Amino acid sequence: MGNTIIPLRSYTEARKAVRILAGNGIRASVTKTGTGRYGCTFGIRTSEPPALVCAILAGAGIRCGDRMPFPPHDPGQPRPPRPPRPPRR
Amino acid sequence: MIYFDNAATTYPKPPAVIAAMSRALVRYGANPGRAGHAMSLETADAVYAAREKCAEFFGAEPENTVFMPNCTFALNTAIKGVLTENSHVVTSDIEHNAVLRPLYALSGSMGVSYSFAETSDDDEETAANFERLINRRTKAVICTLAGNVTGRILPVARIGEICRKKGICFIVDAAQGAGVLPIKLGGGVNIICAAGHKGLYGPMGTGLLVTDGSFRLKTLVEGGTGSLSKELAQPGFLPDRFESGTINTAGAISLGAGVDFVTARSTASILHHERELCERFFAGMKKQPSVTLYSDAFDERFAPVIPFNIGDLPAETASSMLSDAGFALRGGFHCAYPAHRKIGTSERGAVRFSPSVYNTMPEVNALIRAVARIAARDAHRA
Repeated sequence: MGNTIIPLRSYTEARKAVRILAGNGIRASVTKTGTGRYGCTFGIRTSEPPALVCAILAGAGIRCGDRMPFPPHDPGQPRPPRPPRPPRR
Repeated sequence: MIYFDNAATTYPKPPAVIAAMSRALVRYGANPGRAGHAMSLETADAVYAAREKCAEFFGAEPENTVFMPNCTFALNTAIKGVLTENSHVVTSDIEHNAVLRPLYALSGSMGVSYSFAETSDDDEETAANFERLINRRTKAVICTLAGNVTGRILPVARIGEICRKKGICFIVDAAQGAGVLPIKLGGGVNIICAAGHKGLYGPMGTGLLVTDGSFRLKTLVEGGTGSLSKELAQPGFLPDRFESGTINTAGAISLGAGVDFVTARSTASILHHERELCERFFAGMKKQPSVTLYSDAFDERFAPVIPFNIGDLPAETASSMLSDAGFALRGGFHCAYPAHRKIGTSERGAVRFSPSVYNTMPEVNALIRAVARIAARDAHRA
């Protein structure tokens, strides 16, 4: 499998993406990505150009990680306060 | 023991479900959706395959198909997720405590009010009863697909149409009907809560919450989901939003095998088989003067569930005597006291006959004879 990793939101979404891409003749596999802006997630690994892959997935309502607004909080509820930072040692 | 308590949980399970559970415990031993190593990804893939099967069964998207510990948990998630302060709910007069107790709890904590729509032999009348009770504060209609005591099938399609026109969330408790009665999202049905271990022939400890995504649900439980780990807020997307912590992985995988089993046989043929057994049992009970039945006939109005009583015996005593005779049936109130009030068994409860795809006509005939013996002994004692 290729070297392009496209982060998505979850394993379930990544797995669905693999199926959608397979239907478009594109091979992809699920992979874990752990160092993104919001921490652990899963994405897809593919040899195809990200722009092509993301366009196909966008048509199915799946937005690629690096382009997604990715709201980390529930938009229906007020954002809770951030916990205090631990003291420096 | 000849088992006729399938409304509580189906037994036996199909060999393929047992094999899937065993294989899952041996092969899919890593935590799915957490690590990136091969074993975790393989396990996650097996869970996803089961999720896809469940989703297709109910006409949902895989991401909107959430594995739950049971139908009660799914109902709590749906009911408490959608209702807000002082909102109103319409439900039926034959609901299970899995619907009633969350509503009762919310009436105390959030000022939620609820109205009971009377169910009748006339589906149009039942639907009209639901519609009549909807008011401007009504947030949801919640009802069972089929009563777990009476077996009565509710006009879910008609009620769904009413809810769709009024923009009200319609939650269906499919604990009794899933696997024998047709039920899918759409036509006004927004959320289906199902037991994995009844008509879907999965193991106990499994259930499903299936949604069309129209109504955003608040969470009951927050925790680790394997996604967005740096964020303290629970993810907003499904299924992660409602699958905090490690799911019943082997259970979910073998539930997929159960759905395969039902799909291969078809719900129509399973229903036909169970209805034949029910017709035979009903006819056998009708011939016994000291047996009380609670409908005039068993027909297409009913799911394969028949409540009955023997003489003046309390329901628990009768079911205990049947157990001594080698038959497993549940006697009592079945966690659905209002349904017993409706059929007039609020004092003694009822014994419940509920066959599965694995029961046979000779078993039903044997049960009929056993009931006759118990009835005769009871009459002699009297």
